[in-house]
Amino acid sequence: MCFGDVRQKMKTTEKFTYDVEVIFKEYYAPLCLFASRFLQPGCDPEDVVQEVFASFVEKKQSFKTCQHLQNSLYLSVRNACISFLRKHNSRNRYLNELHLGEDQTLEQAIITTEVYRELAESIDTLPPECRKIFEMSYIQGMDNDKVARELSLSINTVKSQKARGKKLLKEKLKDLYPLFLIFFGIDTLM
Amino acid sequence: MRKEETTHCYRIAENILARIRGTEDGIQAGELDRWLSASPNNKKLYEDIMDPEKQAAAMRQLVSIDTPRGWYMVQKRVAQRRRQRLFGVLRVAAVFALLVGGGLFFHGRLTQHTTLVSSQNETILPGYSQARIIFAGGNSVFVDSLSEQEGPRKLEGAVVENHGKEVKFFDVTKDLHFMHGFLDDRYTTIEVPAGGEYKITLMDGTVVFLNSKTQLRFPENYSQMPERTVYLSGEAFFQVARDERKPFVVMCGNYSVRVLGTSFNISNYEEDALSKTTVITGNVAVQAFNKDFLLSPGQQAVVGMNDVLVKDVDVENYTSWMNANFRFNGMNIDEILKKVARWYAVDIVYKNDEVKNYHFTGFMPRYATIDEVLRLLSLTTDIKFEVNGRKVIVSVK
Repeated sequence: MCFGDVRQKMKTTEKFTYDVEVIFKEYYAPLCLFASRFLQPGCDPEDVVQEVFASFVEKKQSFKTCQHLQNSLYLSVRNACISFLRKHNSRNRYLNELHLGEDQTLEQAIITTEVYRELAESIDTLPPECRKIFEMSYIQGMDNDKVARELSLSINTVKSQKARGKKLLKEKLKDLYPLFLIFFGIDTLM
Repeated sequence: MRKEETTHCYRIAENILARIRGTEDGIQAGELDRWLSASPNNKKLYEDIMDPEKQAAAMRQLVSIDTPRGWYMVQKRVAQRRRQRLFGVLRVAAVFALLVGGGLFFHGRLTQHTTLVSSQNETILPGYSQARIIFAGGNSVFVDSLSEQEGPRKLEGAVVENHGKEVKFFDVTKDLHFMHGFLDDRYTTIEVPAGGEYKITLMDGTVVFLNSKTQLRFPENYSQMPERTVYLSGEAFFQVARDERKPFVVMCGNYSVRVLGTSFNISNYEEDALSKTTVITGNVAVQAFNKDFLLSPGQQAVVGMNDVLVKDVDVENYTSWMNANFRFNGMNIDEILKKVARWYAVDIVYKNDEVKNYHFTGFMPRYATIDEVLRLLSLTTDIKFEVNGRKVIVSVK
């Protein structure tokens, strides 16, 4: 759940050692997703998360456990979102924003982000060509024509590659089963 | 956030994932079911997470984020913070050196002790690179030294590149000839607030340094226009890219400045009675009250309510605002303090009006705090400053 191999190391040493870049690669996109739950649409979550990581790199804080580190990241991003809202809105609007976000508490936002983070990671475990086609057609919503043009392939090649890859995709993506359903439809899955 | 609570979060996330993947064991299933029945909120959260549309939207968002670029930007931010801190140290050292030097130099002339009274205020910091760009479509974007973007970015029909302290505009409509009729009267505006400065490059290659409290309006594209016309309020230094066929024209309220390719400074603030155009290189024509006034390098046209005065000036007095130091050569205090007011976003209040006509020669660091600058001014003149909030009270010593 937490940075794979790094966690093993943590058990052997008193202090949890980590590489900021490794953590960034794993957590940047999920934290942006997390931040966007607190910010209004139109605010750039990447901006907020980059600031948090810049302080993080500077402070070189030490953590006892990996979860301690995770908590600290989530909390810092949430706090940065609040000060961002405070800076860019009048006080009243900021309070309203926070109340609007009340149905998604910090705890709930962490749970959602953690689940989606793991799901997105399974996309990365696909072989490169499958991943590319998956991202283009199912995540970016391109049709066969467009995928073919982008990859400089004939439409027939894309179709047959998709068919060949389907079995593999189905196995690999059982994590993303619900997602799979909307894009393929139940009939094509069988 | 208490520790048990958040540990609990990760455990729940793990249990939900195990259920999605079909790998859950009895303990996990039991825990998840207990959690689900504990509160309707939990159940709703679970349903939200499992919602295929929401999942797809989240995956789309996660995949669309450019992590390597993000890491690059973080490193840039860290480097920038370090630079700023180092710069702060150097600045203090420089001001100290200046004070000691100035003190020795003026030792014979000045017997009074320093008379800057600063009543336990927040430190008033100098201006920095910040501006708002308002596109023809009405949308606006705020740029400052932190919101640096790598590479050109398309914003509202314009392609701009923001280097933190500088924005470059590119002509995107060059190849869209059929659009010209529609685009001719579309203007982009850049506004620099008090306490700000910014540098922009227009699509013809003309470079404009904008001072605090300045607004510049320019067409989104001027390929179909007979002239390159821009509108200025405030102060700007222009380095005009030469184009013999298309004169560059700056409209300043009741007069205009017309050039082919030169560098010059215009100070055209509404609150100032006189508007000044100072020429550094090349020739400039000032058109006012139906007359043309030709200026050569080193000359300045002072435009008043109904007349124009052309005179020779020390150009440094009028152009040093773009550099690390303000340089003044016998400049009167009123004019200097107007610059200080705009750069530090403060108000100046005179207790004694005769102070306005005092003169000052020397230089002041632009990126120092206001206390440092005022101390420097009071060291070498008979003027006393008192800072109260964002108000600077000026009186005779």
